[in-house]
Amino acid sequence: MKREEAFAFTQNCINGEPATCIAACPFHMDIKAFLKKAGKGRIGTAAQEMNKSLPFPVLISALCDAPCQKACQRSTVLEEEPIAIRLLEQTCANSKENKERKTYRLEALPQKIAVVGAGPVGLSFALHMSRKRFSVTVFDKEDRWGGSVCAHPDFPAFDMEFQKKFADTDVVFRFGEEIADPESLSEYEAIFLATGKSGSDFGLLDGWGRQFGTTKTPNVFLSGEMAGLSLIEGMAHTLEVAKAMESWIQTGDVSHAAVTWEKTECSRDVPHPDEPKTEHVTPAGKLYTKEEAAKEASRCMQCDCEECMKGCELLTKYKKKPPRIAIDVAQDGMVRNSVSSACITRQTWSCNQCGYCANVCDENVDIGGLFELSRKDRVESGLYPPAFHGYWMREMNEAVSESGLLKPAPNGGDTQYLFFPGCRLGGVNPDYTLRSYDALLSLHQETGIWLGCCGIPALWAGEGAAFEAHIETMKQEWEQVGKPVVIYACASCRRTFARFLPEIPLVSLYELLDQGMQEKKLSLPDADTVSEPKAFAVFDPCAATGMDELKAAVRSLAGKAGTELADYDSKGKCCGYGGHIQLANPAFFDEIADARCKETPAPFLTYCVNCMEVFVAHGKETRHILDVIFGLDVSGKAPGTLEEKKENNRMVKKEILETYWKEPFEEKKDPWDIMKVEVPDEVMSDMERLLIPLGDVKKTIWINEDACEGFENQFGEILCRMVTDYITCWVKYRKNEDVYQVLEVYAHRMFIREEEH
Amino acid sequence: MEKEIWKCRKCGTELTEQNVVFDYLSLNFSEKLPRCPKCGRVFLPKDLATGKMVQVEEQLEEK
Repeated sequence: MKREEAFAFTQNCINGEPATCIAACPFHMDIKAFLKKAGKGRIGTAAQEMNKSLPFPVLISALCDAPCQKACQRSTVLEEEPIAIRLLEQTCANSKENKERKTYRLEALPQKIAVVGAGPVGLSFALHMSRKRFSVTVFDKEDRWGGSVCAHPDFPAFDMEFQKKFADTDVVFRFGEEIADPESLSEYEAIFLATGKSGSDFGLLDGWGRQFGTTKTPNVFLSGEMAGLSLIEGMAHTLEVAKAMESWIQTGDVSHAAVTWEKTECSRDVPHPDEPKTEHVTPAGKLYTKEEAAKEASRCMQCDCEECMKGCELLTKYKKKPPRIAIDVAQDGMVRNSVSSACITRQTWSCNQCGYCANVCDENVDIGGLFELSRKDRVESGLYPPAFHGYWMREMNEAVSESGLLKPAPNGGDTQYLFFPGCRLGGVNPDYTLRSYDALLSLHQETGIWLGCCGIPALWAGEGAAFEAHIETMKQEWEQVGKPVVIYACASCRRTFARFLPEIPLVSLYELLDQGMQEKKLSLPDADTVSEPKAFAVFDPCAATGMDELKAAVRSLAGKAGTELADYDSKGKCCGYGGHIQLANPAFFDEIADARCKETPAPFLTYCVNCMEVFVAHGKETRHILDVIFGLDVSGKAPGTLEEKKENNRMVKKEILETYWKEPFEEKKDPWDIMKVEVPDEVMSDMERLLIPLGDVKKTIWINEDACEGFENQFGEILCRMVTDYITCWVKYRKNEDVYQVLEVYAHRMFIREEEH
Repeated sequence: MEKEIWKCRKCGTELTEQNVVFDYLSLNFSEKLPRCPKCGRVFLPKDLATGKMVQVEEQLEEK
């Protein structure tokens, strides 16, 4: 993977970018940090924040026209009074708590710098260069400093501030000396001209460079009102000019001056949903008291966009900001040994791939897409834990091979529709697929059947090559039956089709069923057979985001079946199943599922079997919409085991072949299928958690019995193991006549080198 | 409770503590575990597989 691929995902992310107030400030002062400190009543430290960026805080806070306030999002987004940043700055700058920091006097550098003009711009420049340890001499034709601000009513305060700032410096002031020509300053290495609005430009304004304040004479720089800047702009500009001059002195080239501000155009507002309203604080006196200042400053929202992080449990848990995630994913892709430096593996494989982050982002930043890329990249490089998705890949392969089926319309007519129930619908309950297909045929006789899988397990596993091959096969199969409209039952299948097979026209099962009932072509079961309860909260699966017609059809069906619907919105969030994170992060999987279950006291009604299974497994009463409309009694039914789902899928295929095609279905039998095993509930629960189907347990016993391998203790207990492609499965059992009593099942991912001993 | 004594079913021998090398994600490390002195088959009890082994696996996965 090229790092650019990862960075492209977050290039529009505004997280971590300077807030609009900071971008608007000519000095790019860290206003957020300033307000945070002031908001805690820490006036002295807030003043230090000003001293970091502003050469003369008292003067600047008095004279600046505060573009920061115009950009304050309290005003621009929430239409409140902006935070009184300028008044807060004046309060802090003029406070007794604003103390000069003691600095160490380092030895001066040999280069001498001349500054012509002792107004605020010249003084700012002199201060910057003196802090860089150059020997600075300031000339002014007047006999005092201040330039154009001398006439200001607050000049005494400015004068005091100049004195305070220069008290600890070596800057030499030569007042009353008018410089007629910069050439007279030949003893100086470099010269800075800031002669003010009506001052002389010595013929150097022609050819002036705005970026670094350069002139056609290489060692002469200029800025300030003479160059058409405002006083504040000129003062702010001196920081850049000082860097440029330093660079010129050291290297003979100004262009090495470090660029500190790359995103001056940043003006993107952050969304502030649910932000409480605040009241602007008016000071009792001219400036704020400490308490007033704290109250006003604490109105600051510390603007930074974290919308995706706020709603996503994963991003909240791992705390990494989107730009950081991109860096880590890129680094992960560059480190080509097993020890990656990024440590993002767990987060990558814990993402539900639900799309919530992209949905809430105004800038279309898709962190889920970034994790998808990361998984693919890790699989391509061979450095990924195969156990995370090993079982799911197997389940997908079984769904398209043993349980897979493609048949045109059974009446021999042109296949106009093709029902694609998805790999798990019939697995969870064969009736879901069989009853649906039956209903669809009564609506449209020209409906074929396509049992298989959309391929999403391979996409989630990062198995890019397998996924692409699967999509190509699906395309060919669809073409083979005459390119019909595909009827989907699972919103995730729909998302996969829409994204990777956009040529396939799609319609949802639920819309057709609802329409069929509307037109009285289908009828609902008798009211007394409809499963209890009668009031539900509809849980829209994450993949149904944006599918308003689908959502409406499900609600309409529920309404027709006489159910009441509670006020609830799943907001496009995942039940926990998405991305197949169960093995990569079992605790987090449970955390998400439990969080969803607690969002409403009402039982869930959903139209995704995965959501349903996850909720039921986490103790929440949940029904599938097909239970309600077909009147299926599933009350108190636990989700089927992995083995049962596999059998159900085969049963669906058998039923369809026999019913509609009068074709027999020869089920593939394994020699261990006939073994009689007894599995206690707690062992079965371990197996389900580890995604070990009963067939694997039987096979483990069978191959070891066959070869008489494994270990036996004095109590007749046997322990044996089977190494699969992605785990080693261990089974402890006792044989009682022809029944195998399973005592323990566990697994590990590491490979044991047994040939070496 | 009487101490369990495990024997290799194939060789009929009692197990002894020996060095075992584990591989995972192109890293490897070794640990002393009971194994058959004759055929080398390794015995891995549940508490180890669900305890320390899971911790090590998780650490290696996160690297």
